[in-house]
Amino acid sequence: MAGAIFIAPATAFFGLFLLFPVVAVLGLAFAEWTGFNVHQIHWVGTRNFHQLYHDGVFRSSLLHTLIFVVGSTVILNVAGLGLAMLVNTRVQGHRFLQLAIVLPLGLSPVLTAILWQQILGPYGFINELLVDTLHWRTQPIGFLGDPNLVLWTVIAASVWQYAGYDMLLYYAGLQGLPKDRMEAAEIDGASALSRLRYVVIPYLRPVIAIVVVLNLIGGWKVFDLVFVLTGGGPNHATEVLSTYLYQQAFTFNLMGYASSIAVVIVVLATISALFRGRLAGDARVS
Amino acid sequence: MISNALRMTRQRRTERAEALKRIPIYTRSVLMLLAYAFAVIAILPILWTLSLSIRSNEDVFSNRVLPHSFLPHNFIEAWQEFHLGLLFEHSAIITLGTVAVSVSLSVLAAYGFSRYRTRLTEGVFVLILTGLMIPPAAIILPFFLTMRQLHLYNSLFAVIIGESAFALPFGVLVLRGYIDNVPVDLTDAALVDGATDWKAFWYVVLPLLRPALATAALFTTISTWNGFIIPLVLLANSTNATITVGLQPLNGQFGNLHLELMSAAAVLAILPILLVFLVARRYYVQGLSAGAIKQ
Repeated sequence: MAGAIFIAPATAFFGLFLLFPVVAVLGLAFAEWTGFNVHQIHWVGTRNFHQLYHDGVFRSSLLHTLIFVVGSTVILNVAGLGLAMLVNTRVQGHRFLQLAIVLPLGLSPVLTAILWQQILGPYGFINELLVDTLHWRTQPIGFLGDPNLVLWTVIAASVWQYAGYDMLLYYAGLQGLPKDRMEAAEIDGASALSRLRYVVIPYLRPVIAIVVVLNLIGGWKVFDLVFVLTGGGPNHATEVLSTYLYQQAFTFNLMGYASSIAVVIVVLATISALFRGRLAGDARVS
Repeated sequence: MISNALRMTRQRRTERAEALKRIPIYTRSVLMLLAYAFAVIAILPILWTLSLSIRSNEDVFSNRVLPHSFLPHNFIEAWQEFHLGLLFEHSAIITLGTVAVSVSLSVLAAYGFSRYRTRLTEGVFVLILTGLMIPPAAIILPFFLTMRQLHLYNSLFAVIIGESAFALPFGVLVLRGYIDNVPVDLTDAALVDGATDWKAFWYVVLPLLRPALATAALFTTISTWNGFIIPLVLLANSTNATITVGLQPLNGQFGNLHLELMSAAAVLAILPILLVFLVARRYYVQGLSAGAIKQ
């Protein structure tokens, strides 16, 4: 068992600081607790989950999270593939484009939120351009204040931050695209669009599957961006599961209730990950 | 071999150039315009913040798109007003600590997983990889409660532990991928010559892992430096805050009145990451695709 010496430290660390918290959350979800005295944990069965089911803010948080995850995944993939193909043409400016798209990947979501507040606020670039310079509008657009718009602002900021990730993965995928297939399609007179539809996308299918699932898994992790950009507001319009959990735990000290929200997040992330396992299997077979 | 690789690259370049030439000139112009347009849109938030950072306070609220003032002194003022020196220091301590803890733990484990395969170790490996998909927000609560029980609440050490836990699975994944490709003969030879397991690892395998260690360290540096929820929850007050947590509450009060200082602080916060990126972008890109494909 010489191997145990190498594996044990990391396994113990993982068990204590990742696995144990997951198990603890699963347990606390069935309890009521303010988080201070361990002896005051009251076991309440499935009451927290019943309460979640009837909680309007939880339901809208769940809906917003789903819209955020699905919406940003779809837009990220379209943008990522498009940008990768544009960079792959090696047209003049492609290096500048690649650098500009990849750069936001290195920024913290907190900085992204600050940058987007500066650009979309009432005194932001967009509104000053539309209202004061071009005079196209008389009132600033409430990117961060209009409840119908603000979730899409969050999605746009997230796409801005992570488009480079999808672009790099698709770009790597495009490098293996068989030249002869593209040339044959070209000689057959296929338009750029049908070459995309019948050559590029079928070839990239395994890559698309991986990128989609990575985006889904990443999407469930959203917290920082929403927390700083909108704080879940205005009036819960951008409340997502993680920000709602944070509020229940650290503003109201409802540790049990917050844990039941955490269980919902873990279940959603696990479903995406299982999906990933299956897709990886398919990719290996094909 | 190198000249061969160079010739290959050159050949690929000429092929590319020819392929590009086959595209009609007007299509090429449109593509070029698109490339520049998207690039400008992508860096616009950074450029705009940069343009706010050197303005006077009136100029920020003047409804003008271009700055009409130039106050580089804003950066000094922002540095002092937001205690950026202290925030950078805390972020640097946490980042260095996390890189040290997570990379050393994961390189040991990766070696063990790669060289001592049993059904049990493979199971543990897969279990550790599930850590990649756990959203930090979902388990921050028991983490916080544990740290408070251990009287580690409001210590940078607690943040290092938390960030290391989340960095560990990625490190194990990337490093194991590399170690799997180090020929077993190398270590076997050392073992036959009488080296212990530990010496074979330390003197034979570890030196070969330098690029992989660099990749793991780079990713851990970026994700820890940018980490938010763990320091937010585990550090009590602004005296212990990191650069991410320290800049964030300013959005509400002072920052809204002094957008120019907020912007200057944001620009200063971007600089270190920009530097890391410009120096190590190649490793970052490689590590990113390696991580994604193996995951």
